[in-house]
Amino acid sequence: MSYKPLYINPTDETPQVILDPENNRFEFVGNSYPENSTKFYSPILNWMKEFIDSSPKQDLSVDFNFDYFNTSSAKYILEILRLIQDHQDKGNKCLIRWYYFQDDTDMLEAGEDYQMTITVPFEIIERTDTF
Amino acid sequence: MAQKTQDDVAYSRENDLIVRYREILSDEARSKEEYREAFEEMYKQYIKLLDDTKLLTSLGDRLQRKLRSTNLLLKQQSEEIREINEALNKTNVELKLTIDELTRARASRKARVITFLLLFALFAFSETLEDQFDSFLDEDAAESFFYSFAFKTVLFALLTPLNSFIEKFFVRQTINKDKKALLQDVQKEAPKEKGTFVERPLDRANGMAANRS
Repeated sequence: MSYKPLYINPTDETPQVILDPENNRFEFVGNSYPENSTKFYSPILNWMKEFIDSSPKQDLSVDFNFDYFNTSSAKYILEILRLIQDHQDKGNKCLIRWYYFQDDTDMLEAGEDYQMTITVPFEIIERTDTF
Repeated sequence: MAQKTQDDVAYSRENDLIVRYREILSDEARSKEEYREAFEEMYKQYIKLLDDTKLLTSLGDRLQRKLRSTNLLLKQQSEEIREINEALNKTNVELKLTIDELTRARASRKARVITFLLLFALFAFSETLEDQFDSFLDEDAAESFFYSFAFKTVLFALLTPLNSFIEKFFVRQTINKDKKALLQDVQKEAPKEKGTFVERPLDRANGMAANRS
């Protein structure tokens, strides 16, 4: 079953989101402090739930490239990671790449905290260029 | 059953568990073993929930700290910019005063030269006229000397006011020349973006004139 990809353009307050199974692109890039986190993230979570519940045989590599996110976004990021964990538990290969800008210890430590909550292979990568 | 709201999307796992355990509690037909299993599961889920709470609290604190340090940095930079701006304004005022002084000095020098040339010309002319006057009026030497002395005294008395008048003339001329030059500069410049402050050249010129007066 081919899934319609989900593309969300970035704004000052919300990240760029690419969920494209056909091209194996799953990315979250930018800032995340939407005025209404539920309104922004619900379609994303629903899309991912439906995708994973349909049990596709697909390896997943998901990139997280945030400069900043607020606490409510943190909850949604955790839920996304749990969904990826569920996908791995169904026998698929998953990989999470967590990017942080050089010297941004807050984002580095956030990645380390998330890394401890799941068993999915989790790479923490320093980037030197701005996105 | 709790009414599904948009919030449930983020907390669907937790809500599902609440629904499940409520069902178990309300079902009195369950065996002791089933209750025990449910309780054990609830215990594990509670530990997970506590870990999630700790994680989110830690993330929240960290993000708040990042915001705060960025805010402090912005305030610091804002203060630095304000200080630089103040220093620049001070330098600008000093430059304006210096330019005004130079202009006045230049005008003063010009005025002095012209005043002396003028007086010299008048003095020379008066000497020529004196001879003509003397032969025409047929006066004696004393009277002639008196008229000559009086005329030269008047010339000498005119020295300062004449010099001042000529100096003011040159200063005014320089102000008008500067105004024209500034207006031409502004007209030559490209149009600015909307909202950008543009100091009007007349304001600048008027500022200079105010300093001179």
